[in-house]
Order: sequence, then structure tokens, then C-alpha cells
Amino acid sequence: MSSSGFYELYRRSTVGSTLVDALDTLISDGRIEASLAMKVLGTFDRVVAETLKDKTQSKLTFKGHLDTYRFCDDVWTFIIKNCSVKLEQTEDAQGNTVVVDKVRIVACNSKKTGEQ
Amino acid sequence: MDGLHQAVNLIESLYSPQPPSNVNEIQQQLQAVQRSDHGLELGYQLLSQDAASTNVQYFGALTLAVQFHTNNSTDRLLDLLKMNLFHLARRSQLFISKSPHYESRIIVIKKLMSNAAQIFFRMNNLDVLTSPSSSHEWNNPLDTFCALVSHSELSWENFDEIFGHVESQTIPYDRLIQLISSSQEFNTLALLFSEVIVEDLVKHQSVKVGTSRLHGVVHEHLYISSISIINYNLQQLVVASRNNSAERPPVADNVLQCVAAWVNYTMMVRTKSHGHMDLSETFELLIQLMCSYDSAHNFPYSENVVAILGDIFGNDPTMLNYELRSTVEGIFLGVQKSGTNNAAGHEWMLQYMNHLVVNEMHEELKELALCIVDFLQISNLDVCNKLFTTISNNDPHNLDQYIKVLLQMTNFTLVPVLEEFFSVRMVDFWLDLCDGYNNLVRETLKPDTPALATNLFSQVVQIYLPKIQLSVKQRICQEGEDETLVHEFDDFRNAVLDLIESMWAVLGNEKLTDILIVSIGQLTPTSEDELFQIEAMSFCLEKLLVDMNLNESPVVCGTLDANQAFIDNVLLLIQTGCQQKSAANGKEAQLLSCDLVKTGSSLMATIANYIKNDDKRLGTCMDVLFKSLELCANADATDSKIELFITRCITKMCEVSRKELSSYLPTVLAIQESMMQQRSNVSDYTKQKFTCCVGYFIQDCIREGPEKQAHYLAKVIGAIRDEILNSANNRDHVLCLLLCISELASALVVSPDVLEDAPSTQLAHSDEYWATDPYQLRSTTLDLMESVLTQYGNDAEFVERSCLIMGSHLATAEPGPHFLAYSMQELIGFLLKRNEACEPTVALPYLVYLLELVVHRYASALAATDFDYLFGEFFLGIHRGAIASDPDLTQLMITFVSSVLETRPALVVHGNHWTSFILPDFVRALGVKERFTIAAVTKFWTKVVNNKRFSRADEVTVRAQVCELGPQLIAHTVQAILHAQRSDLACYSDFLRALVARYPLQSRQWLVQALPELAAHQLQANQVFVEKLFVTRGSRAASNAVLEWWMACNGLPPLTGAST
Repeated sequence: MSSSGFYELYRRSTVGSTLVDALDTLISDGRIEASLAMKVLGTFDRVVAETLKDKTQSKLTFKGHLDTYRFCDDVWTFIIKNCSVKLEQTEDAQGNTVVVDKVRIVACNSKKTGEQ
Repeated sequence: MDGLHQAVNLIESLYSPQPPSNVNEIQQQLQAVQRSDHGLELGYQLLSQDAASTNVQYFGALTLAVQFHTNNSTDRLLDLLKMNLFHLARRSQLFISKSPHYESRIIVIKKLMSNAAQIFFRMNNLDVLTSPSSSHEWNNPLDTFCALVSHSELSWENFDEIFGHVESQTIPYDRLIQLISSSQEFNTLALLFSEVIVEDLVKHQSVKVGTSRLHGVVHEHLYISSISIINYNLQQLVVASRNNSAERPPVADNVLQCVAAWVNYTMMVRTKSHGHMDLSETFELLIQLMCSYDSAHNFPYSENVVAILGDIFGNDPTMLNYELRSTVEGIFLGVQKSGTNNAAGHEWMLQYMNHLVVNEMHEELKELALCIVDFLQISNLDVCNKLFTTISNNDPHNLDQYIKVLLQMTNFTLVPVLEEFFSVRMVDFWLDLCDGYNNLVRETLKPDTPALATNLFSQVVQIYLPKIQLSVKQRICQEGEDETLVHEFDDFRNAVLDLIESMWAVLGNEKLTDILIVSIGQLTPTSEDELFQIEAMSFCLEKLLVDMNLNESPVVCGTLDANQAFIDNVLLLIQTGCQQKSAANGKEAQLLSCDLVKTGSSLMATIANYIKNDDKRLGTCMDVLFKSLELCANADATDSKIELFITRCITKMCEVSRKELSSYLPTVLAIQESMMQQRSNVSDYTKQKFTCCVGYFIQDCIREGPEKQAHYLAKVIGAIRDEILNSANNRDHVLCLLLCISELASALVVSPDVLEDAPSTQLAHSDEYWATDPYQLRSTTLDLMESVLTQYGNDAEFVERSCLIMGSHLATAEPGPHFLAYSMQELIGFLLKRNEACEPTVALPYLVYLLELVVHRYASALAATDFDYLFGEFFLGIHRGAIASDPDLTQLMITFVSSVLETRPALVVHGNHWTSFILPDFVRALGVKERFTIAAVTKFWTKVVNNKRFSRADEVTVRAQVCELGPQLIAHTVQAILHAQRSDLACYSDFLRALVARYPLQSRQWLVQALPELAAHQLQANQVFVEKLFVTRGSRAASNAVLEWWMACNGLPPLTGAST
């Protein structure tokens, strides 16, 4: 959980890590302070969490073999093997599924904002 | 700046509705003064101008905030505090005395309050407190505020003395109440200040360090004063509402906002160890306010309190103690699981619901539903235990009543999603209850529990079936609501599906699947409503049957047999959908027709295994499906969608019933042939899938020998070839036809089950036959592709499709006989020919994909010299320059070598290119900047240093080479890390970890040698890096070691906290 009360896990997404790289460049060039970069990332954590919660319609369903599951420090981790993922409510009405060897799901409690 | 007058003019210009063109310049000028040493003086002067506009005064307050943020000195902080408090108290006194423009000045007061809150936070920060110059303690801003505002002789001259007196003064409860009772404005300001402080405290969470003491101070001081004021106000509201329920005093909004802010803060701070901030008395008063209403059905507080309670139940329900939760339970449900009932409270609930329903206040009704169901979710497990187990002994009558209320709530009489939200939210409740029941230990169940559970969940099914009918969607569309509600309804339907699936574990086939089948079968639909009933039941049934193997469920099959009208009704869904899909029937009918066809065709496909057992029934179904498909003409999006649903269903039916439908082959062939023509208006998807269906039938002819297969295949391939040659210039059509060949080839792949069952002589005969290939199918197809690629050779889609067709036989692990089983020579011949003529950026990725398949399949037949030849042709020949300059192609080459290293490493490591090109070039590739190439090259090196597929000879060769290359390898890697982006570091750390593990002695030496040359000024960091790398084992720990070294060398901060 970040200092702003939102999880930092989206920083590891493509858009998050790209933002981190861009902030690194700005810090290295002396164009921003590290503290501003932290604030930007704090805002990123919040906005991603809020946007995913409020503005997404898409759903995906998946089926596969639940290989591993654990619940540690309020974080659920599931590793699903031989998983077929199906996106609903997308333009791909052909209902194509994506089959992957392994899916890792990390799920945190969205309600407990404010915790550190 | 010359003076105050000029500053005032600039501020007025800045905030004027039509700002001047140089507004940016003005802003910069003012900001410079705000930040300067004169800032404090400017702020004081602006705030002292009683006659100045609100903008000017607000700017004064803002200037104090800027001074606070730009100056960290403790002495300066005290000056700021005094100045801010003085002006806050003065402005507040003017507000209370209702001086001119007093109402508009509230914005200035609020800013000064926020400034005071910020100063309060900093003064109670651990760092400030431990600084030697700190001698002031300020524990309770609210008490100080009240004391200052009530001071009759407040002036800047005597402020030091007054502040010294009130700074640490605690105002007794009676005096506090006396003060806020003295004037409504005083009361409003006290509430506002308390609200501003706690709201800012929640935002202040971004400061990680030192907040611990602050929360402690708030708990010991501010909390006591604030809750006293809040509770006093709530009591006054309760008394007022008893006397005249409809009236809502003006201060009510301030009180409720302040309560909401405190609830929010308490919720946040509860996880920290500062003792328990009990708001029980506040909640008691809130609940009383919630339930107040008059005979004219005015509910002055209900909406606000429901919102506050909803927030609590949704986030931290244990904020309400057990007694309060029981009270709420009595109010919401009129019955408690245990204890007495709260008839009066529940009467409010019924009246309030009625009020919302009658006045069509759907949003408020939704809020209430959210609040109630969130509340019910809290005690779900408790309900489950009390209902079904012997763990607690409760009054059975009470429990019956409780369940009755829950069912009534679920069966709310309005339209779900559009008008009511209870049934929508209750899905989660029932799902949890059902899961809870399924997880109960069977020994703890009461004797009558199974019957009770069956009865209860059967009722839930009966309630939800009409709620998810398409008539609701129809109503939503008729109301002209936006699409969000339609999506919400679809989500609701899907949530009910999950519930039905969970309830199946309780009800089983007998009480659920069979009943749905019987109910569908018994209906003779004469109206739209009955059709919707069938759709809703079919929708649920499909979910239950999709994971069921009907061949192993004789009872379900028996039920299906006994209800002959079942299939007819499912077909009716498809037929009706197809008839209503025309745009002339309106958007609403189109939307519903899509759902009807989707449900019908999905269910049909799901029970394909059952349908195939009866030829007559199968024939009827196929006739209806074909006729429905005939009605589709790709006229619009709905039409295309429906065509797609039907095509999917037909494909599934043909796949499952290929044997039973074999007599259809001539008909289907004729249809497929007509579809292939350019003028056909069916979609490309249908053309491809129909060809796939033809393929299934032909594949089934395997029992009759490959000769018959070849006969039909020649017809299909011939028809496609003719069509391609006739319309060679129509790119999309030709591509679609190539896709058809690809589908045909996939359908002809023999499944492992058939391979297992078929006699080996039959398979051998087929293999032999296809090797001879009397109909020249392989060469015809190859020639066809060559001809197409002559024209479209640099079109990526064509090359991709051709490679897929060529490799269709290679894709399976255990290939059976196949008409396109190209030999290695044929495949390599095709690849080499295409390689010479292709544009590498467009075609090479697909060619290399096929090459990978070939090498993988024929690895044992290849020698290192063959690999050298292929590698030279594809990567070092005419495309060498393009590959070197294009990172995607570089990645392609590296990935190809890695894949061979995973399949048969000897092919690579004993070849000439290994030492002459691959090793030296791939060392240099470590310094690339593109992420995908970095990932590929580090994976390659990881595979080189640690490869379980190495033979002893490979291992010896590679080990010697790595030892020789080591210093260079490490130097390039470390240099690449140093200049890499943070997000790329993980790729390198995996490789370093593998290297350190496999070459521990050498790699330490290489690192110690390389690091000082690259980062000479970071000796300490270098040393720590090496030490950490050699003691860590996990991937994350190695990544952290690399990251720390990288941050130290680049002077960058850690941008993540504790990673999740």
C-alpha cells in the first residue's frame, strides 16, 4: 500500500513502469525533484485504482487449473495453469479465447484504503 | 512591487472574470512576492484590509500557506501560526457579528482554517518536536479557536499575550457548549473547523513519517472537543425533529458533513495503534435522526444518514458495535436473528421505502439498497450458522420471519436495475450464503437443514428467473436510458448465472437442472412473455450444462428425452431472433433478437452431444440453423452478430456430430462452394468456419480410407484455387480464401483419441497415401500459395497465413496422417524461396516461426552444419543489414537461437556461427536499448550459462567459452545495466543470478574487475552490490541488489515502497 492509501501494484504495469522510467529521466535531467516524482506516482496509484473501479465495463472470465493459492499480508495470489481467458463485452464477438500456460492473479482488498 | 495598492490591483486583475493578456506574468510576479521574505508581511497586510474584496483577503490567506510550505524554520512557524490564528479569529468574529459581506468571506475563513490545520500537523510532527528550538506544544486547535473567537479584546498588539494564555488552554465541556450555543454562526464555524482539520488529516496521510504522534494528540484532545460539539448538535437536531419533524435547521448540513468527515477519519485511523475512538453515541443519535419523519412523510435526515451508514457498512462495519448493529438490523428487517424486534424503527423503514417508491426516487432507493445489503453481508456467516447449523439455538419462528424478510427484499416489486437495486445487490448476499452453506461441516447441520436449504434456494431461483428476463431489458430500452443501464442489466444477468451455478451444488440436477428443462419443455409459447421465460431459463441452463458431460448424465438426458418440446422451444429462440433482427423493427427489437439467438445457439451448441444421438432431432436442428443462416445477409451489425452466433453453433454441431452428419457432406460442400464465391454476402468468418465444417466431415471419412478424403479435398481445394485465380486482384477475398484453406487444414488434423483408436494399418495406409498424394493436393496448395505470394509476397497477412498452412501439420505434438504433411525438404524449399524474395521486416517473423517449427520437428534429422546453413541463409545473408539495424528482427534472431538451445543445443553450440558470430554479436547485443530485445538477449545468455538440455560435451564446450568470454560478458552486462531504464533491470538481474550461481568464483572476479572501471566513484555501492548478489538466491532479492546499485550510481531515488 502506498503512502496515499492506494496500492502500488499498478506501478509494475506497462503504463506504470513507463511512467517510472519517464520520471527517472526527468530527475536525472534535473527538471523535477524526487519528491515531485513520488507525488506523481501517488496520484498514479490513486487514479488507476479509481479508474479501474469506476470506468471499466469489460470483464474477463478464465478457466484453468488452480495450481497455487496463498493469502499473505492481506494479498491473495493465485497461479492458474493451462488457463483459457475469455473477454466479455468487447468488439471481439467471435468469443475467441486466449490460452496461456500460466496466469498469476494478485488480488488486494480494495476497501481498506488508508492503511499503510 | 511598489506597494500594497499595486499588489491589490494585481490580485484583482488576476481573479477578474476577464483576465488581462499578461495574466501569466502577473501570476509569476505575485508568486515571487509570496515566496519571498516579504511574503509574511504581504499576507498580514492583505488580511488586515477589512474593506478589501474576498479575492484579496483569500490571496492573503493563500500567501500564508505559501510561506508555510516554503519555509521550514521552527521560529518562523510560530510567527505564521500566530498571524494565521489572529486573522482567523478576527475574520470569524466578523462573521459571527454578521459584518458586511460576511457570508462570502467564509472561503477566506476556510483557507485560514486549513492553514491552521497544516501548522498543527507540522507542530505535532515528531521531527519538529524533537528539534532543540521547539518549545511550543499545541494540542487542540479547536479549543484555541473557540477561546480566541470568544475573546472580547482581540488585537494584533495584545495577541502574543492572549495566545500565550490560550495556546494550551483546555475548555471545559460546559463552557464549550455555552460558546457554541451563544450564536448559530459560532456553532457553524466550530463545526467547520473540526471538519477541515480531519479532512486535511486524511489527506495528510501522504506524509509517512511522524504522523503517529499526531494521531495520538488528535485522539486525546481534538476528538474530545469535536465529538462533544457534534453530539450536542445531534441531540439538538433530535429534539427539534421530535417537536417538528419536517423542519431541518440550517446547521444540520454542517453537522452531518462534520460527522461524515470524522467517520472517514476514524475509519482510516482505526488500523493504527492509538486507542479506540468510539463514535457509538454519535451513531445512536444518527440512527434516531435517520428514523425521524412526520405524518406528511417528510424524511429530513434519512438520505444523509443512510449515506453515512452505507459508507461504514461498505468499508468498516465493525465501527458500529454489536448492540448498534442489532438495532440497525431490527430497523432494516423488522426482525432480528436473536432478541426482540424493533417495530417502531422498522415502521420507518417501510414508510421510507414506500416514500422513495411512490416518488420514484430511484437513486435514493439504490443508496438504501446498497446500505442494507452491505449491512447484511457483514453477518452473512452468522446468518448461515444460525439458519443451517446446530451451533446456535435461536427461535425458529424468528429465523423464519428473518428469511421471509430477506426473500421479500429480494423480490422487490419494481423493475430491477431501472427502478430497484435490492434484487441486484442481494445476488451477492445469496451467493455468499450459498457458498457458506456449501462449506459447512456436514456434522453440524440440523436434521431438517437440507430440506430447508433446498426450499430456500429454490425460492431464490424462482425469484430471480423473472428478474433476469429480457422483458426488463426491453423496458430499459423503452425508457430510453443510456447504454450504461443495459450493461448493468447484463452484469446482473451474469451475476445471477454465478449464483445459479453455486446453487446447483445445493439443489443438484434434480431440483434445478431437471426443473429448468421440464419448465422449458412444458411451455407452449404464445406470447412474448412466455418466450422471455424460455430465454431466461435457457440462459441459466446453459451455464449448468456447459461443464457437464451429457454422455455421463443419463438422468438429465432422460429428462431431455421426456420433454420433446424442449428442443423446439430452444429452436424457437433462434428462429424468433432471426425474424426480429431487421433494423425496421427498431433498435430495441434488434438488441433483444441478439440475446435470443445468442442464448438459443449457445444452449444448442452445449447440448450438441445429446442432440447427435437422435438423427431426426439432429436433422431438425441443422435445418433450422441453416435456414436461420440463410436469413442473414450482413445487413448491419446485429445481422452480422447473429450470423456469427449461428455459425459458431453450426461449427460446434458439425464438430461434435461429424459422423452423424456425414450424409450432409454433399449438401454442405455445395453450400461451401457457393459461399467461396466473391458475390456471396456471408461474412468472411462464416466462409472460414463453413470450410472448417466441411473439413470435419472429410476428416471423419478417415475410416473409409484416404482415397475418399482426397476426392472431397480435391474438390474443395480446386474450388478455392479457381476462385483465387479468378479474383486474384481482390486482396481481401483472396486472403479470406487462404484462411479457408488454413481452417480446412486445421480441421483435418487427426485428434489424439482417433489416433489411439484407429488401427495402425489404417494409419500407415493413410500416411503412405498422402506421401504419394495422387491428387497432387500438396503441390496444388503449394503452387497456389506461391502464385498468391508472387502478388502479395510483401503483405504480412498473406505470408503469415501461408506459413500457418505450411506448418499446419507441424503444430501438433503427435502428428497423424495429413493431406498437407509437407516433407522437411519441401518446407525448407518453400522457406528459402520466400526468404530470398521477401521484405524482412514484413515477412521474416512468419518465416522464422515456420523455420522454428521445422527445426523443432526435425531436430534429430539435422546436423550442426545444417543449422549453420539455415542460420546463414536467414540471418546472415541478404537480410544481415536489416537485422542488425532493426531491433525487432534482432530480437527475432536471438529468440530463434534461444529456441534451438531449448530444443537441441548441440545444433547451435557445435556450429561455426556459434563462435564466429552468435557469441560475440550477442555479447554486444546486451547493450541494446529496446526492452523486447533486452529480454530476448538476457534470456539467451541465461540459457547459455544454465541449460539442462546440454549434453556433457555441450557443457564442456560452453563452459570453456563462457570462461573465456566472462570478463567481456560481465563488462557489457554491467555497462548495459548502468545505462538501462529502471523497468529493464529485472531482465539483467535474472541473467546475473544465473551466472553467479553457475560460475561463482569466476563471476566474482569478473565483477570486481569490471565495476570500478564503470563506476569508479561508487566503491561502497560496488562492494555492497557484489556481496548482496552472492548471498541472494531469490529472483526478487537479486533484482533489489541490482536496483540498489543502479540507483546509487545514477543518483535516483527508490520510487516504490514495500512491493506487493
